[in-house]
Amino acid sequence: MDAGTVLSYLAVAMTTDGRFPTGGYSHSHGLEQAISRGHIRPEDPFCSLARWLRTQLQTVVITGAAQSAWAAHHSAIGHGDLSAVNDRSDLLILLDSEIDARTPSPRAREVSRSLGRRLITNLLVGWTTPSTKFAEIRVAPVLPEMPGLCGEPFGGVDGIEGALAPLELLAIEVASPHLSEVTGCFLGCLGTSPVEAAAAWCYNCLVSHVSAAVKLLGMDPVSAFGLLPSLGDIISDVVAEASHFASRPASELPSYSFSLADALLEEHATRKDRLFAS
Amino acid sequence: MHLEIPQGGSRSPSSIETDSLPVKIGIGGPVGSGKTALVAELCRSLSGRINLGVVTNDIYTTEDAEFLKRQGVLSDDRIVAVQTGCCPHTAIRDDISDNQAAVESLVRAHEGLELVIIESGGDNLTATFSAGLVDKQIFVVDVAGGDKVPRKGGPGITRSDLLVINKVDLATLVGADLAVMERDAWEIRQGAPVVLISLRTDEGVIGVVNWVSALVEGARQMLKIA
Ligand SMILES: Nc1nc2c(ncn2[C@@H]2O[C@H](COP(=O)(O)OP(=O)(O)OP(=O)(O)O)[C@@H](O)[C@H]2O)c(=O)[nH]1
Ligand SMILES: [Mg+2]
Repeated sequence: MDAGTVLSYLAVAMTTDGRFPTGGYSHSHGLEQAISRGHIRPEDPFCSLARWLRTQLQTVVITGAAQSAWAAHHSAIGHGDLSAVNDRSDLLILLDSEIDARTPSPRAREVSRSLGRRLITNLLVGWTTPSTKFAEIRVAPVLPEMPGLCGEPFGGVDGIEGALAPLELLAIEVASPHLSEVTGCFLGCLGTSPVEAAAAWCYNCLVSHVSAAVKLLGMDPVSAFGLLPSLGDIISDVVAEASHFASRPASELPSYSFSLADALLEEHATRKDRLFAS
Repeated sequence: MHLEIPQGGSRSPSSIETDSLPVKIGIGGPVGSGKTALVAELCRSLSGRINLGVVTNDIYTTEDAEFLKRQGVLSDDRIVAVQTGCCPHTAIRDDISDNQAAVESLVRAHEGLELVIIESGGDNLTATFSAGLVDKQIFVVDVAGGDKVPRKGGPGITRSDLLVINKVDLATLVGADLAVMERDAWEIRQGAPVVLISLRTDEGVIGVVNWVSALVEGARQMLKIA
């Protein structure tokens, strides 16, 4: 296995490992409210966690997976190809607004942007490899305040080179980019395919729900995580469909939604007695 | 700079200096040991002379933040609450993202901020703050938990920069021997500072107030020199 492939695996592993700090552990993405409202009751097969996960997969998750795959596809450039990087700028901004349009809940948009901002900051500060040559120029403007980044002593887009250039560009163009875009963009920069980016997205979403359920319902963790392989066929279809959109125009990206989850997210945000941030 | 701690030992001066503002101080400790009461007291004593803000990490509800707001020790916009998704120690140690974001939001909103106090959700004796989040940490235990607590050790007790043993007013009621607690704490902390206080009677509290204000003063001086 060559060094590039190893790095791409490492990128997937790191962004899907709950121990990498992204702020994700404090979000249940509506699950806490679904449990409070009685929409998830482990003893009732019609209100099971498996059912909740299936609905999530076929709506919110596939929509995000397609965004991640699209971002991965459009971030995969040859190292040091500056003209290609410049062309990406408009596409990355375009995807940002397409994601907004596909995220009906204002709270979901807010959460996605705050998690995305945290991830992009941590990646740009923390991910330095021999193939990211611009390490010196990027650390200064990114810390400590991302919004101050825009147009600051960065040296402009022309100053960018190296593998993470599209991610750098995204940080410059969008103060708090969406999580799906940041994840896909980073993975694409490291040579991960759109299919892998979509799969990584599905895994991340499912694990967020499962680990929140383990805490909130006191479920047996082995059987809770066992739901993932049991949903394998659906996950596989979702990944295939999502990655299909990677090279299509952004306007064609899917926009399935789960209105109950959206309503629950909004309601949850107004609660004072909550354990999770979403 | 050398700090005068009324009780307990002292560390080498370099270990109690920070050179950037705001100084970030974490306050951790078991549930109900008096963390919020201490934060309120620090705000009351220091807000007149130090530009400060507070981040709370309630486990459930925004009780601590609401309590501080009700006390009127600080304007509401200087108190930010963070949710910790059932993992109070994760929020201060393993994944400090949300707390960092809260600190950043305070820094953005209040120019010249000099001190941010971060109260952890009540946790166990192993909970410590990440160096990425705070400059110094205070661990608060109480007398009501029994005089064995300091002896039990754990990173919170052994590694904190200041150990506070609170509720000394209850010692006789719960049959806790303060001398034993102080001696054990000294021993296990190898001379690092320990203060015994009561937030009910105010006994010893000035020691913590002075410790915190000396840190901020130290950082102010360092910045002047730089
Ligand atoms: N008798 C006595 N009671 C105290 C003292 N300090 C705090 N208390 C009381 O102890 C209780 C818990 O205090 P808090 O400040 O809320 O404790 P905490 O550590 O913030 O608690 P959590 O945030 O829930 O972990 C409150 O009822 C306080 O009034 C003290 O020195 N003596
Ligand atoms: Mg408290």
